[in-house]
Amino acid sequence: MTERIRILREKSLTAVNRLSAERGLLITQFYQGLSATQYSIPVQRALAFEYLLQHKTVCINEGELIVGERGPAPKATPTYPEINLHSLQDLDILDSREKVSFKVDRETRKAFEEVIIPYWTGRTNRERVFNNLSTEWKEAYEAGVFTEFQEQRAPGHTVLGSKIYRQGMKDIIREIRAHMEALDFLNDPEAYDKREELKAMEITAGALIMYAERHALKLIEMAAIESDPARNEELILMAEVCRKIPAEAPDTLHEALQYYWFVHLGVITELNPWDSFNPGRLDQHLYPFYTKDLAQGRVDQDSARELFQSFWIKFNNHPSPPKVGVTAEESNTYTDFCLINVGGLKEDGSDAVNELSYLLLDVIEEMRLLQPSSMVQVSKKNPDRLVERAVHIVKTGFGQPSIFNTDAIVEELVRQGKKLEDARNGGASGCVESGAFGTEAYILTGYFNLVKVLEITLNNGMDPITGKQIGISGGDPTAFESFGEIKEAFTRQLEHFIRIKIEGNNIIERIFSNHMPVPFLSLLIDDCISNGKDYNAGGARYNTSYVQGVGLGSITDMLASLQYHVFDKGNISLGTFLQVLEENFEGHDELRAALLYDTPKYGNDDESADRYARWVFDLFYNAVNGRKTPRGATYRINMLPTTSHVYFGKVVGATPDGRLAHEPLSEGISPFQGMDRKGPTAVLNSALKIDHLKTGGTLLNQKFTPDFFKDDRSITKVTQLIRSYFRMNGHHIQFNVVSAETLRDAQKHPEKYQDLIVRVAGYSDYFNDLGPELQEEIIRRTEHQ
Amino acid sequence: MPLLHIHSTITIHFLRNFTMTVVIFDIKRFAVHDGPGIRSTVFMKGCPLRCWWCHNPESQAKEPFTVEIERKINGKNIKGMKTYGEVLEIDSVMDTLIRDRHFYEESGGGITFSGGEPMMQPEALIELLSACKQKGLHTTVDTSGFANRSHFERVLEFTDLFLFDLKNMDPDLHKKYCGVDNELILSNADYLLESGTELVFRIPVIPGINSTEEEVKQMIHFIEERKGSLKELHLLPYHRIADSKYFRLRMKQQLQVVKEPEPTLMEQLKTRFETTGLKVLIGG
Repeated sequence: MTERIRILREKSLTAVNRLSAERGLLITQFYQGLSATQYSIPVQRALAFEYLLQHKTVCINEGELIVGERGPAPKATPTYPEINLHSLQDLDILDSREKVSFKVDRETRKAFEEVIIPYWTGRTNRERVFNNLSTEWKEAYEAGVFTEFQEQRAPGHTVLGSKIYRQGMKDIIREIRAHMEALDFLNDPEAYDKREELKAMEITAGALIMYAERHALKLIEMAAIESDPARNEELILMAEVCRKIPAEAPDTLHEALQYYWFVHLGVITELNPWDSFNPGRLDQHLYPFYTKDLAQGRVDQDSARELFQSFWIKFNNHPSPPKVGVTAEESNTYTDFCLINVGGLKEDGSDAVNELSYLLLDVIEEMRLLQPSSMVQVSKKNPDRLVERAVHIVKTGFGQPSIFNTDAIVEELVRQGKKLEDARNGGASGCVESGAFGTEAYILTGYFNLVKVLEITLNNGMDPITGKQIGISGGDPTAFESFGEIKEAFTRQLEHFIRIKIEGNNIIERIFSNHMPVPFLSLLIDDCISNGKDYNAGGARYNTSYVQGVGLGSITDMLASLQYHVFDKGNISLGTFLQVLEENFEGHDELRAALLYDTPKYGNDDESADRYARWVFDLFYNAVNGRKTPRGATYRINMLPTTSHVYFGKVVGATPDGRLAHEPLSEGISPFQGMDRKGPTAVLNSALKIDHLKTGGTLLNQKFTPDFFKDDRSITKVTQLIRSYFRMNGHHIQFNVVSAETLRDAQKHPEKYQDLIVRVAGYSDYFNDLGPELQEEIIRRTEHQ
Repeated sequence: MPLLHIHSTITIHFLRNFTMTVVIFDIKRFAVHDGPGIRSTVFMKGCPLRCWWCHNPESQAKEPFTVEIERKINGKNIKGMKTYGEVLEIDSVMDTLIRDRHFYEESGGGITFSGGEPMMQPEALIELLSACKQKGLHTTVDTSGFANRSHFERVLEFTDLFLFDLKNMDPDLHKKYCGVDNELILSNADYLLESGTELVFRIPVIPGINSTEEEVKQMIHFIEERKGSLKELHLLPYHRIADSKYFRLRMKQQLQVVKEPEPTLMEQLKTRFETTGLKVLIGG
């Protein structure tokens, strides 16, 4: 690592996460000055975007090579009051909360109090959303049956394809104009809407050029007073880069990286989309620039590495926008889920791994940063060298890169109706979500608490935590004579809550497409321009909406336990069992011991438990998959939790698998923490009993002790373990390589472990930033020796 | 009527004899130190030796046994029973083993039979080995070498690899620490090597007991003479991980004071054994 990178990295690591009022103030000024009736909504949003880029601070940090910050300084994080307005109380919580805090200084607080809050109260999209949802939706939401992704953040969940490496914004503007000119006002009833959307896109494309020019000017100014001749030269070069791109297509590695970064800033300034934004297949997009620069002597390996490292730091400077309430609980992290993809397949189906893939893995290992997150795509066509290199990094114990099965991803996407080439150009983003990069809007709509639905079923439609009747009342379960009756009752209850969730989704989706278009994001994703339609309104070539199932391991163990103890063995009646659960096993330690130690459990390749994983999965799949949304998207499922398994656990009482009230649920498709006793192959076999190809992503965590990786032979065996799992269509696997002992010590002495990064669920996080429940849960995940 | 009754009893008896069973105490999946690739290791119960450093004291008795154990719930200890050992039908063991077929195939792994001493249950072992071969699985037998030659003669046909322990070269020491003479063991080793089967010697390194100059010299000499048919040698560092097992099983641990070998000792031994020209692995 060069001295420059070392300093930049250090500064990024030590920068304090704080709230910035700048964007909030600018967007308020813009809307206050706007004569609302004059412009269509897409054009309003485009002008707002232009206004922001025109007036926001241009921040260039000392020594950096890639420039541009979302806020006025690294980790100064804006808010998006048009989506979600933070109250003064929210600010206090953000400022003072122990985990994932954002410091709020007096000035910022004052800006909120005097300007932002008075203007936006009653005008936010969040209020619009909640005012339009039904009572039954709100009751289910408050009970923790599901969460809602779009209540504080805009839809995002997409990844850039290869477009910007081929086209400058001027080329894109030409394309937009051509489509505007071709509009058919005689026959096309949507021609006006299309024109407004295209107009809006054109404004935002021009705005990005202007924003880059502001950086060029600032760089020139800095160069004029720079005494170090080397830096002076660099600043001038950087100014030239900012004048060429994004107006024109890039020709060099530096230009390509800087272009992407401006685009990234555009997307996350326009709104606060989930999963920030993502360059995706970086080793594919940049390989031509890299080889050309090498051949022409513009870079050597070291200077290319430095450029990439400089680029990496930009991501780390950008924490996820501040979240509050349930949304903070379901995704309690600074990580904004940018997931760099390395490896995989080319569009023609051949092995895509190149020398840049390995260079990026070096960068990942050396930078050891939370953001960007990184993953390796592994196809059967990719070399073992790639997997082994990735496992070598995994064993250093910061949870990156996670490992994905390209062949499964392609098959999942093709099953959903994508063209094979578009599928191969895809990968995974966020935690584990499959997507066709550059061509798909795949929007996650919320986590769904499978365990809560079973709890409500066992209580005949009542939520035992609140005593409210929120589900269907379909007969007293204590009178059930067979396990089949429980299954039937659960099926009805699940369909009931899925209906409520999807009705809500359809309303929220329409609100976003009508009120919150994103013309800038739209011009980046095909085929929004040729369709003349916004990303949020179904303009992309492919449109998908996901509901994410949570608690598969837990619910499997619950059903297996009920079947085994109540119906097979007759050890306990359902009525008594429910009573014991209500008492949270108080005074029933022996029963609890039997539940934990002598009951079939998911994760042990034991069909008497695993059959319920398959059953619940199929039920959930059938309830969701294939439904249509108003924008013409198709509903699909995936199985990932972020941190929602902790929140969902908090709202569920004691469960028949022996779990105590309010403890976390199982995460992803992993077994309940500590219940897998037959080693990793048994875990993988259990996990393979659901059909991964019917999802848009599954998440599996495995923990190994550092000892396991002592020698190269173990690395080979882990590589083979991964290959075997993928051969059987497993979607994703990630490893935590850290001993329980280390984690215990870190709990006691957080000060000594400020750099300890662990894998959470589809992303890595600082151990110190995790809540105590999540810390415990990670410790409990079985260590395979 | 009485005749018919007798007849049916005989039938049942007859059938039972043809459903062969095996006594095992564990099947460890994702075994990565018991032969090539990813394997499942079947730990069979019963051992004729009584090595002082035995890691699997629960394997020594042939018959399953049950002890009272304590489990922690809410910081309290709840009593429970744990049975060490299970009598299983061959088919049922095979059902478990075949579940990891894709892992074996991907990694060039397979099944290892260990123990205890798997050769103590020769009929069951042969039955299991031949079932594995029928399914195309690689087979390894991990043995102390202490068994009737005729059993080895029959096992040989179905075994791809033998992991063969060398514990002490000095017959007196071997008798002292393992309970039996090593003459039969060493001659069985030669028998297997002459048959041309693949064999790896494994030396459990017990500081002070078989890491002495004299023992090491003799081992090297023994290996030197046979290296033409050997490729690899494994040095297995003694570890005290079984201490708690002895306590739980209420068994007397004979090896009280020996410490785990230092990594430097393992490296030194590795270098010395490498003079034989064999590939030497620490930990197998």
